[in-house]
Amino acid sequence: MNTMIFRIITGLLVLCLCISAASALTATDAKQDWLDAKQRSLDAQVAHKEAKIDWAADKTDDNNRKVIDTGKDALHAALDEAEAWLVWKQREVEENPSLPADLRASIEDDVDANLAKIDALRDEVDAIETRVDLGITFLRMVGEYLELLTYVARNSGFVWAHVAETYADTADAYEAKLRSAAEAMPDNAAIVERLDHARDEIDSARENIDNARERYGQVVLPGTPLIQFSSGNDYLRIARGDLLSAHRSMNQAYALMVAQG
Amino acid sequence: MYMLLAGVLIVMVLVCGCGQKGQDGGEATPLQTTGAAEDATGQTTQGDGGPPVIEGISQEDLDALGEDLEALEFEDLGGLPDR
Repeated sequence: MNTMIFRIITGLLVLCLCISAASALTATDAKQDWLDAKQRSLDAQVAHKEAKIDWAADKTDDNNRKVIDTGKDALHAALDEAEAWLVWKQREVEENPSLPADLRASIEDDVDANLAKIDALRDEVDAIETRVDLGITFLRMVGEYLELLTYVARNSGFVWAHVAETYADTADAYEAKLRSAAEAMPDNAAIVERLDHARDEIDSARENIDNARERYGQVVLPGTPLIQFSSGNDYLRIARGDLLSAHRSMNQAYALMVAQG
Repeated sequence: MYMLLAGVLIVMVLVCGCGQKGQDGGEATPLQTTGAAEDATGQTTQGDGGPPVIEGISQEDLDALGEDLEALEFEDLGGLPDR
């Protein structure tokens, strides 16, 4: 009896530590976990491709088995990546209470629902025995995998666009303050030129943020959600470049203004 | 012995609660930060508390915006392997 209770206590303590560690995971940690999982998924895909090349060159049972095993590994790695990404998104919204409430609620609901689906998909991958099973499971997973990620990706894109817009607003406010101060200066041509450049870049950033939003709006099923998501990200990367360029110009304008005293 | 078990369960609840608290109230990822302090009138002052060089904006404000922009990342998803 005592031994049984001791085992129960030990088990509970271990469980407690695991829960505590999991809940202490920050968004930064979760993002790194996702990047690691993404790399493992890419490595598993390479191993699977190599196994298929080996099998094409020499159709032995061993090589056939390797194709199946590496295919299962690659599918598991893709699910690991999806799970790590969803956990990162979950932590990201948990740590950012300033996000719009509808986006937060939507992401949290979708993440919870999709994390629950991943275990069922893992069971399907575990059940693969033959190349035919692998092909069928792969085809089924394409749709289910996209379902796992699409709506969280869509809302995550909107979150990123929202964040980029807050920085554009800040840049906008700084440019206006600098311009107001510059207009009171006697020799301000070079300063205004820098500020005009900053204004153009901020306007361009806003256009690119709008374009990104439009692309994220197309992250839906049926369709090509991951391509649209990637395209939205491209627009935001350009917007980031625009804002950095605006920032450099404002820095130059500020230095000129300070020099004039 | 049952009291010991009950004690352990209470400790577990407390530890898990602390973990959750750490998550909720701990490190936050700010969406928008400004490195400069603002005085009661909303004017931005330099880090040493001196007068503003240009009304409403300081080099610290600009530096903070630059750091925030540099930190922005928009990552794509990996996707599934080829069949």
